[in-house]
Amino acid sequence: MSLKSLGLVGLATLLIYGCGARPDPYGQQVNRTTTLAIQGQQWFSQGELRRATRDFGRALEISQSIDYPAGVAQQLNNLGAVALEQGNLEAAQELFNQAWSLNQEIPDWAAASTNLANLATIAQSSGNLARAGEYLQAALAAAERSGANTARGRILCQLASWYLEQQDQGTAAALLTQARPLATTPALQGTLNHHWGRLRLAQGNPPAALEHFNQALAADREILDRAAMAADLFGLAETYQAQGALDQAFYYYGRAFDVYAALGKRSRSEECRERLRQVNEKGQLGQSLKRFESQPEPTPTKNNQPSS
Amino acid sequence: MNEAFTRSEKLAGLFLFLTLLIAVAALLVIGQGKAWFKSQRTYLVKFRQGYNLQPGSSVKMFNTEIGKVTDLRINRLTDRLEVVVTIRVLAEYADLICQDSVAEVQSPTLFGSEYLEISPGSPGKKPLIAEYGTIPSKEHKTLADYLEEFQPEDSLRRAKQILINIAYLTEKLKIHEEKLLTSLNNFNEVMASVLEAKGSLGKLLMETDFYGRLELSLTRLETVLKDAAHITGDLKNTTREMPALAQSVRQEVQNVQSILADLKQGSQEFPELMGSASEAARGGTEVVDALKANPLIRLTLPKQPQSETIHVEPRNVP
Repeated sequence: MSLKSLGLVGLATLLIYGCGARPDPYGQQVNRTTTLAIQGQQWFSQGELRRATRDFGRALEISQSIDYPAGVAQQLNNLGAVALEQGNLEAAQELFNQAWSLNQEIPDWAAASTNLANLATIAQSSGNLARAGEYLQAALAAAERSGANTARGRILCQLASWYLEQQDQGTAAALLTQARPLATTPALQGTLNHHWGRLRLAQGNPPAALEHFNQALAADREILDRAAMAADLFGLAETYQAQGALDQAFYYYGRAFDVYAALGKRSRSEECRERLRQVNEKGQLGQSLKRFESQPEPTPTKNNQPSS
Repeated sequence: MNEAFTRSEKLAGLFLFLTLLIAVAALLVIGQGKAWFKSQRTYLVKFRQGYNLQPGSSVKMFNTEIGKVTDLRINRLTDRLEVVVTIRVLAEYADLICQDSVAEVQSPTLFGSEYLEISPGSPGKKPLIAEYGTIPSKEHKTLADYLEEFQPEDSLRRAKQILINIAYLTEKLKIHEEKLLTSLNNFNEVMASVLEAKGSLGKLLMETDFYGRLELSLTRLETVLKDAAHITGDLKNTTREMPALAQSVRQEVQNVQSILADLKQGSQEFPELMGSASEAARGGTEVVDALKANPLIRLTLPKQPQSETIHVEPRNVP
């Protein structure tokens, strides 16, 4: 039988199989949930928290109505992430805990490790570093249990960040080295490079730090994670400041300020403004701060009002 | 002579046999779908007119097709001409057609054709209608009937009252016109006396220093009177045109009522239209989903990204 005949037979088989495609209403609803969740994630990464809440909420409703526990757990976690972004730590903790319990039941240890890492972030934001460390150890155990490299890499990076907070550069470096081969996604590459940048800066190696922060910025820009991009810009500015290149530092602090202001992150943009003042004064740059001063206070926008 | 069939003859025979078999199978399948092999019962329904029913029009109960119209003819045997509609209904529903069942022609909302709707009777309470018996019917309401129904009688009464009031006002105006003319005549007479310097007022007014002013006043008065006469003339014309005007008003009121009736009917159909639109949108989504389920199309679709459990890093927390 010639290749052409084989091709025709194959095509005919596909056609017949296609005509006999059976309806899959459950699959359709799952797909709908996925589409809504992806849309919500895009809004979230762009700082459109109100729209993200709406889409995650709809996805949660559908997941609950079709008895899709994995979807329920995911949307509970994502709604928790929105609450955390809005500064509502209590609600965020409650949602992450619910997601964690559900993921244990399913069981989905990769997702569970993310829930625990998010709980660690809350503890760290509240200043409870010891509690954050406990959560991160549990998250690492869950990630290892899942066998998912991405999950492990993510937790290792956050654990390294935790050690950096405590000035334990040796352990942080070891953890980041472990995470390096696991960073296969742009998001994880961005995170890894950002923490490497912080580590190199803490070790007094600004050129290496600059390289890492630039790589992190490129990776985060690829997935349009605006908060991460702002953090990378801030890291670059800090590095230039440490190098004594104050005009460059001013430039990057300005860019970080703009992104933070657009995201409505008040304390971060205030920190940028303060750094801009310092750099301008110390370097006698004579730059006008009018744009940063006159810019309206980056209060949470209507889209980002904390939900009750 | 015993000649065996050749291979070609055998093949031709087999082909014919298979064709016959397929034809019979197709006939059976179609007949099954068209309910050719199901037992049916025949009934008659009588109407004043045919309402666009045709042989083949559906016969429904609870919006479910239970039979077909098979024949329509005009009955000349009675004093009053009427259309006799013959219908055939599936025998399994014959127990729902009782003496208290009512047949009525229904028109589609926008698309489709007229069909016959039979309301179910009360099986067990009322006797069943025998085959070839006549099902009681209810005349179909036309648009004109609806419009007539929707015309509020009190509005017409009010319109009539308005027209009566207009006529009354016209009469009043006529009376005032006479009074006005009388007053003007009286005034003219008084003025004539004054000009002839009769009476104390005349003498007074005929004084030289008053004369100039009086002349001026008279000139003005003359103008006013001319205007009044002009207005009176207009009023007469208007009064003459009043019946035609009233007729126009009546016509417009009727038009407005028709428009209101249309609007009312339209508003009743609007939710149905919205429902149809939603249904169509749902249908569209289902079609897209079905297309996506086809392996050929699925192979060419861009891969959908997976939704993820969001990880909030400390560096991103506000």
